[in-house]
Amino acid sequence: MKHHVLVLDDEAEVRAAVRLQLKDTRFEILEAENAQQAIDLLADNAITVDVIICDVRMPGISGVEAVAYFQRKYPSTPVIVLTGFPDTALAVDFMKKKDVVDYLTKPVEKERLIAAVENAAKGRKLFE
Amino acid sequence: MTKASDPQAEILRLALHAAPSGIMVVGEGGEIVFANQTLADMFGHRLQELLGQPVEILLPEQHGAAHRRHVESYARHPEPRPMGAGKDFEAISKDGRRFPVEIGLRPAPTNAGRTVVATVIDISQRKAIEERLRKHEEQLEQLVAERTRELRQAQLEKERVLEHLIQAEKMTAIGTLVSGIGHEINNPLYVLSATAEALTEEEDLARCHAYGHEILKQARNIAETVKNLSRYAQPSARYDLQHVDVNASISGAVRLAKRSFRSDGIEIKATASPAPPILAKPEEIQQVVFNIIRNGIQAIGDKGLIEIRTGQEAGWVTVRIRDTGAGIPEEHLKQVFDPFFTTKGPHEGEGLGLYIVRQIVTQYGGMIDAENAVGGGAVFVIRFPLAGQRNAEGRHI
Repeated sequence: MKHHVLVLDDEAEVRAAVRLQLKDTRFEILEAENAQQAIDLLADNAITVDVIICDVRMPGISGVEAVAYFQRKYPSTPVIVLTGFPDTALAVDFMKKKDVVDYLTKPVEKERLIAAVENAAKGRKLFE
Repeated sequence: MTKASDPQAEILRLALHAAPSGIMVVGEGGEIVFANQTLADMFGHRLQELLGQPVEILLPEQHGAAHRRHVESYARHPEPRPMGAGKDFEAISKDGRRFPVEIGLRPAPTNAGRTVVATVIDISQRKAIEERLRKHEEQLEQLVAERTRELRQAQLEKERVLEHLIQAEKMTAIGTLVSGIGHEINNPLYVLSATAEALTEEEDLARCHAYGHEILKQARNIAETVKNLSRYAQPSARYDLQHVDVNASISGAVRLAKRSFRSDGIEIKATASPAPPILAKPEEIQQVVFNIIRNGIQAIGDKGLIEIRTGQEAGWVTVRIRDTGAGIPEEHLKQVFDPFFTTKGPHEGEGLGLYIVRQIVTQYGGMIDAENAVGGGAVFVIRFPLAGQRNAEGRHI
């Protein structure tokens, strides 16, 4: 069975960078440039998404709203936040609500990202 | 004087002696043939002493010779000389006190020869008043000069402080921007480092080249962002004006604002109409729009809309920025651009944001107005002169 990581980020170059960092892992990358695309992909029964990597600041539906939606609709799918906008208050907020399993800031190193995705896929949550 | 038996002559005599001016009649030979009491009192002589005396006894000695020449020249061209028309003289009293007098002369031919009627006024009091006035005037002028100097000093000091605070405000704005710019830098930095990681493990030469190019591209992105930031921080200088596309500045400001503020409930909508270029520093135009957006976001609070429209009016590029906040109270409309005018809390800024906006706009010969929109909220209307137009001061910009 294929393992999928869904990358939600409005910038194609960032999605490509995630793809590059995860290219030698067992995960296959699915890309969404906005929340609606991500929602559509998640709703597709033919695909199982193991981990979601989600940006915070995006035009339209923001990352915060998207994360809340994923958590409500797919509570068992772990979400990793990957943001270029380090915001301690927001990170604490996510931790408290336990909506995300990890909070990464760009630029993240390959090993750190792979570890985060592996942990998430194995069901180990960082904030527990 | 003999006692006049003629009552008419007696009245005349009384009137003459009671006149407020000194009056005397000088005979052809320069002798005093008549003097009234006022004149005698003025010079401290008894009336009888004066009669028959040369008129020079009323003048300081050194003026005597000059006076005789005057008399001679006056005798050749006897013209009435009213009071105040001639020079002021210095006279001397019996006890040697010198005092200024004004003298009026009127030739009076009589049977006894050509006489001259002289009217004499002691003007020492007037002179003293004039002197006092002159001194007062001098003091006043000095005072005015001093106050002007003080005011200029205060004005300079004020300008210096303001310049300082504007720079501080810019730095505060940069603080807000930096967190926004963090995103602008961190994204390309992430792409760059992920690509570099891949490069170190790649053996295929063609792919290595592609990674290298990607890294370069991202490095340039970052450099551009940093350059933009440092230009924003510089105190404004009037060099490197460029043809600025207002629409591009607006997009830049909107992008920065979206990155800088946690305002997920606020939509910022920019509708660009084609606009000819204006002559300015692009980062300053961006700052104008950014500051107004920031103002709008603070006015709106949680949820709302900021609408930006560009347009054209004869000779002007217009930018209308409307927010759906509470609007501006009528009594504040004129003050919103004043330095330190703020309705915000103590930690939300110095009240210089809109002042800086107006400074920048007017520096480029533009205008800015704040109004309340018909449907609620505030509208800021900015007009920039097109590049190549003359600004209000007639400078070619």
